[in-house]
Order: sequence, then structure tokens, then C-alpha cells
Amino acid sequence: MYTKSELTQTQSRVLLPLTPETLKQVFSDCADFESRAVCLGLDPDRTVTVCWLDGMVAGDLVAEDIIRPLTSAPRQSDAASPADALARVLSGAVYSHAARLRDTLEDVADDLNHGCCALLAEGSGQAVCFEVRSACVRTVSEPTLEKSLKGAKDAFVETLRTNTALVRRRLATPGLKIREMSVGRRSHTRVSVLYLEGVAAPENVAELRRRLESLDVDALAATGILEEALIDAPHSPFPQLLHTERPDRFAQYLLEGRVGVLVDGLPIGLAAPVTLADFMRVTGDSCNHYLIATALTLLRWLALGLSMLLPALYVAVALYHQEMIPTRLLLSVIEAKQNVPFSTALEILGMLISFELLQEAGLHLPNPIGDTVSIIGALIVGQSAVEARVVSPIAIIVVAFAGIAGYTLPSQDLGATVRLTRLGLVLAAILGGLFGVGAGLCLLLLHLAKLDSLGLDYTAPLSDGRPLPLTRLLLRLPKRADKFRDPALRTPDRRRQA
Amino acid sequence: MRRFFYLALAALQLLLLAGKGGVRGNYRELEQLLVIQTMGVDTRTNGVTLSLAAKGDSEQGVKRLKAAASSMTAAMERIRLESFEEELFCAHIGHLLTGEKAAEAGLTDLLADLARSPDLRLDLPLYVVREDTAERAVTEVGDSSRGICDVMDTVRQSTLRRADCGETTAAQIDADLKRFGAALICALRLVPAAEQEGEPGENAPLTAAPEGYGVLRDGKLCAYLTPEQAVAVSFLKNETAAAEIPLRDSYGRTAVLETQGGACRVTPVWGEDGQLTGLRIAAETACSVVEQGAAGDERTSDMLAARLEEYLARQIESVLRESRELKADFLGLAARVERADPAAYARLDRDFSELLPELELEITVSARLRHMSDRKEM
Repeated sequence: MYTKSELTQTQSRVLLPLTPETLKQVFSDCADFESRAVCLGLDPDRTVTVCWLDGMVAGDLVAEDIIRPLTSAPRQSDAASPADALARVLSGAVYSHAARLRDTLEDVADDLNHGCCALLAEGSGQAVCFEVRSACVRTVSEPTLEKSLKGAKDAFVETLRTNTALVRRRLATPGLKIREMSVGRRSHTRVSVLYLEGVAAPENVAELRRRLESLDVDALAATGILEEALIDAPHSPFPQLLHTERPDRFAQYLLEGRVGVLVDGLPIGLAAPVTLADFMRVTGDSCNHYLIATALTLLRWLALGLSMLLPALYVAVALYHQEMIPTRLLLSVIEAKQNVPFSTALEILGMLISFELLQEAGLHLPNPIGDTVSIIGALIVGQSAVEARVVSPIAIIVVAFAGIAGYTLPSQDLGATVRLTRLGLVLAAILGGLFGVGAGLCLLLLHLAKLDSLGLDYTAPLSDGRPLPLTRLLLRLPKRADKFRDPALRTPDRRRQA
Repeated sequence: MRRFFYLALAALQLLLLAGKGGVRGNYRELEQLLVIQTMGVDTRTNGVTLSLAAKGDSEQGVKRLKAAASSMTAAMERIRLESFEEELFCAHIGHLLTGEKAAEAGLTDLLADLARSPDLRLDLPLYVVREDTAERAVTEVGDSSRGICDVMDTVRQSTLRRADCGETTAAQIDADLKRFGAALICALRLVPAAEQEGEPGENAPLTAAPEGYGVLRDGKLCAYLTPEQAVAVSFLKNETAAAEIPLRDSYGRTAVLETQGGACRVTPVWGEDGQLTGLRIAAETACSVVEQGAAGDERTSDMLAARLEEYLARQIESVLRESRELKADFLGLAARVERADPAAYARLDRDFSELLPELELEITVSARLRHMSDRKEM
């Protein structure tokens, strides 16, 4: 008999004998742990123990595919020993597509936790684990965050193997490598690293795996934990990993030479290395005509600039550089601002904070209530504030326009960063007008110039020293002309088509 | 350590910006600004009178301010003191008016002040108020809801569109004065508003209407050109805008022709000794009939074209005569002669404005009528 602490340590790689008793002790006080002694070939002298975690496995599969063949007399009655019985099981006496021989308690416990059923034979010191996962998982459905007009309509789910299958379906090649590992001291979450051999730079794969292996946390419950471990600059608010819930987009990342990461329990795929420009592209671009896709890319960059700079520019110009405003507009703004008791700076700061409050309120409430809050906030409160002369209409227009421009950004992570930066630039504008905005932008550029992702410049292609940076940044070439992968990704096989 | 250095550098930068000497000194709240749009300058004994007009909000209407002081800066300071909590904001001044007396006394100082002022722009249109003061224009034109600013917006549109008057900016006047010693300045006349509509009234509000040009020689106003002469000026300066010219046809009826572009070529005539002896001026224009008293036949067309040529030649000659009499090259003919033959121009032994009265002028005008029979079906 082992003590509780010893058993806990078992999960920390202290090797203990593998017996049904030790396994039961490991899972003591676990209401979902089930074990059943089964007589091989109905012979009461030869018994094995079948263990599983209720809910993690499909009960009917255990009964039909494991217990029934074990009790079948013609197959099992002449097994010489429990070890012989296990050998027969491994050679196909039990109907399971995946059977693994385990000889440590830790491995068996891990398999049980991941939806396997373990067969232990007393005295053999070994167990056979079968995959009989429960079908109680979410089915593949449409993406909720990344809508697709012309592309595929499926999205990742919480089951790792389903997700890898969705990717494999798009990249049906043995070149698609899926390296799996377990992360989390307590959660033992399975994490897969996916890449295309010959396309992804081997050093990127090795580096990503190294970072994953060095991750020492209790549990991998959210992408944030994984992200902080994988990125180069965890203090930067700029996103440094691509997220997608769409397998087609994930497959596209792999085809470009990136390395992907899928985590069991998370319906999101991550990819690295990235540049800022990657967050401005959407998969829909490749579905559109190249001229339309280019125009949309330009529009998104414009929206990024407007969203980040418009409130700051308005504050700077309204407080310090009124001569830059056309006369008629200036007169109109002054008239609108008469009798508003707050300064322009307070107005814009207040509106930006109100905008964020409304957005947060809308996000965290159920959909119908969230919509109502947005409508009340945007229409009723906004209009009342203008009528009561608490804010001027121009302040509402500026903040709303910046907000709407922010929503055109394909990446929500980048959108959040832009919102934070926008606030910083407004503060800089209040302090120093356009000079303040300029200083803020310089600091921002310095920060961006310092960032890299797995050795790739975050500001590439503007900074990678290769020809035609703006073309690569803004234009989507016709597919026939787009023959090579981005050289910045250092892919071994650069050519993507003849 | 390096991060702290950068942060300290950024903080220092912000402190420098936020100081009184930095951009912080330019801090103004929008609602406190009084946006001055028209400025008038007059001379008085030992000083100037400065008058300003601003479009207030819909409740306040037009704001008119004036002050007399020994200098423009002192006058501005006095107005500033009288404007209470409102801050005078002069960066949006769109029109600068000078009284006739101020223009006669000389605009050189005003132009120099404009060049130095951080608030006023050199591309401001500059006007002279004919036979009146700028102060009267600024303070008496319009009523409580519409003031000189609105009127000047309309005037400016006219000067940009029509050939019988033209916009003259401070920068252009300054450049012409420096280069040719003479320049043109757009002239305005104050008239009762109803008079323009043919109903004179004693209590009618004043308005301003463009009326030809004033001629500046050595920075001082010395003559005026009529609107008819202004049309010729636009030809001679190759700035032809639309001009409506009334002419009598052979039946004694009035036809109105509208010029639609044109050009004027100035060719210098050099004597055997290499000196400039004359100028050949060839103008050509196309026009269409906008009001026609007579039938649109070919004979009438030819006759109208001939009358237009005659009219334009007369006006061009009249403008050139004025230029010769004043010895003021306000048309910039010297530059055109120089462009035609720089080497010969460099060899001239006298100043071009002195030569001008002695030059033989040969003026030819060619007019072509277009769309004579373009009429909608009735």
C-alpha cells in the first residue's frame, strides 16, 4: 500500500509497480474511475481487470469490443498466462483500432485520462490500453469568429485528433508532420506541432518544440499561457502568433512555411513565425480577384492608420494646430462645441473609455442583451449626450469612426492592440500636439522594429532588405505570378508552383 | 539599463514639448477661438486703423472689431484686450483689405509685415477699397447675420471665375513689385446692396463688388484699371477666364459674347543696334454668343467676330497706353521679352519700364465665333 503523497508523486514520474491495485489507489476518490474484473474465456481462475474513466470512453464500445471478446471462451480459454492473454489481445483478439502495451503506471494513468481503456493482468506488470474515446464531443461546425463567404465552412473543435484530421484532409501528404507532446504538470494536455516537411524551416520547428518542451505550467487551460511561452517578446502588446479557428487558413499557414500548434481542448490553431503584415491578410483574399484583394488590403491598412491615429490627430489639431483645419470645418466644429463644458481632451478620452465600456458590456452579455446594450449605448446615450451638450457631435464621430475602422482589422488581437495604442497616442497628443503624436509614433516604430518572431523581423517585408517591399506588403499578385513563397520565411522549398 | 535610458529619453522629450516654450504654448480650446476671417488696414495720422471681422456662431452673428494704434501689432493687442475671454485667431484670415489712402501711402510695409507674421499667410488675396476705407468695408458691409466675410467669399468666387477682375495675392503683388516695380491689386467698390439690384435705397446695407484693378508702382497705388481694361489684362497675362462682352450687331441690337479661353503672344522687335524697338502683340480668342439680338447667320457671325476683335484691340491698347504713361510694367512684359531672347534683354542699356513709353506697339487680335447655330429645339 502506498501513501497519498507517494501516489501523487507517481504522476511526477516516480515509477511504481503496475498493478490493478496501484492504479485504483492512484485514482482513489475519483468518482468517474471504473474497473471491472473479467474472467478470460469465462474461466474464474484467469481474470484480468478492465479500467476506464466513465464519460471519457464510450461504454458500449468497451462492452462490445473489449469485454465481449475477452469473455469469449474459444478465444481466451487456452491462454497459458495473463501475459499470454495480453499478447493475444495485442495481436487482435480485442476489436480496437489502437492498442498500446504499457508497462508504467504513469503511462496507463495518462492513457486513461485521455479516453483509453486499460486492460491489466495481475502479475504481468503490463497493461494494454485501447482507444475507445467517448463520442460526447462537439461536432465540427461553422466558424464563429472568422466568417467565410466563398471558402470552407468548417472550424476547429476541442478535440485534438479531429483538428489534426481536418488539417490532414487539406494537406493529404505524408510531408505533413504532426509531432505530439504533453504539456502541463497536472493537465497533461496534448499539444501537436504541425509542419510541412521540406517547406517549414527546420530551425523554426526545432525552436518551437524546444519552447514547448521547456513550458512548465500546471495546466494549459488557455492559449495565453501557450502564447507567452512561444513568443519572443511577451511584454509587447502586439500579437506574435497567428490564431485561426479555420482549418483551411491553418493549412494555408503551413503551406507558406509556418509551423502550427494545435492544443487538445482548444478550438484554435496557432502558427508562427509572423509579421505585422500577416495580421492584415485574410484567407478570403485568395478567394477574391487579385485587384479586389489588393484594394481590400489597402483599405485595411488605411483602416489601421485611421483607427490608431484619428482620435489623436483630432485632439492634436483641435488643441494645438487649429490652423490646419479648413475654415468652414473649424467654424462648424466651434459651433458644435459651444456650451460643451469639457475640454476636447477630456471629451475624447471620455468617449474612448465609454466606447470600450460599451464594447466590453456587449461582449460579456448574452447576444440579445448585448445587442440591446449596444443600441442603448450607441444611439440613446450618444444622442442624449449630444443634446445635453455633454459631448460634441464631432467627438462622437471621431471616436465612432476610429472604432469602426478598428473592426475592419481581420485580427482581433491586433484590434485590441490598436485600441491600446490609440489611447496612448491620444495622451501623447494631449501633451504635445502633433509633436507628441510624432514622438509616440517614433516610440511605436522603435518597438515594432525591435520585435521578431522566431528570427523573422516583425516589420518584414519592409525591413528584410529584399526587393519590392511595398509590393509584397500591399499587393496580392495574380496566382500565376505568385510562384514563390515569402523569402523572409526561409523555406527550404521556395517554389510553390511551376 | 538601456530600457530605462529610452524611457528617460522619452520622458525628457515630453517635458520639452510640454513646456511653455514648446508646443504647450500653442494650447487653445476650440470653443474659445474667435476665428477672424477678414482684416482691414487703413492709415491714419501717426498710425494705423485695424479692423477685423469674424463669423460668430448662429446666435452671435457677425463680430466686428476695430482699433487704432501706432502700429498693427499695437492695434491687434488693443483688440485682443477688448475681446474678453475670446481668443483672436488670425490663422484663418481669408481676405485682406486696404483703404485707398493706405494703398496710396504704400503697401510695402504691410507686405513686409505679412511676410514676417506667423499667423498671416502670404497667399492671402489682397484688395484695395476704391475711394473708401477698409474700416468701413469691414464694419459696415452686410447686416447682423451676414458680414464682410460672406461678401468677400462671393467676391473671391467672382475674381476666380471672371476676366473683368482677378484675384491678386499678397505674395504675387510682392513678387511683381520686386521684379517689375509695379503690380496690380484687385479693386473693390462699396455700394448699397439694393443698388446692385437697381433699387437704390438710403438705408440699404452696404456690399462690396469687384471693380477692375488698382495699379501699384513702387508699392503705391497710382491708378485704376476699369473692368473692361481688366479683360484685356487677362488676355495680356494669358490668364483668360470667361468674360461677357456686350457688342452691337449690324442691326443695332446688343449681342453678348462670352470669351472661352484665349492666348496672347508678345514678340519683341529688336533694332539693328540690338536695342528693343517695339513689341508685337498677337491675341487670339474663341467665343460664343450667349445673348443674341440678330439672326445667327454667317454674315452676323463674321461681323460680331470683327467687332470683338476691334473691341479687344482697343482695350489692349488702352491698357498698354496706361502702362506706358505710368512707366509701370504691371503686365510683366519685361519677363516675356527676357524669355524670348535672354541675351538681347541682358544687353538693354536702360530699364524696361523706361523703355516702355518709347516702344512701337503692333497689336493684332483674332477672334473666332463658336457654336453660332447651337440652339436647342423649341
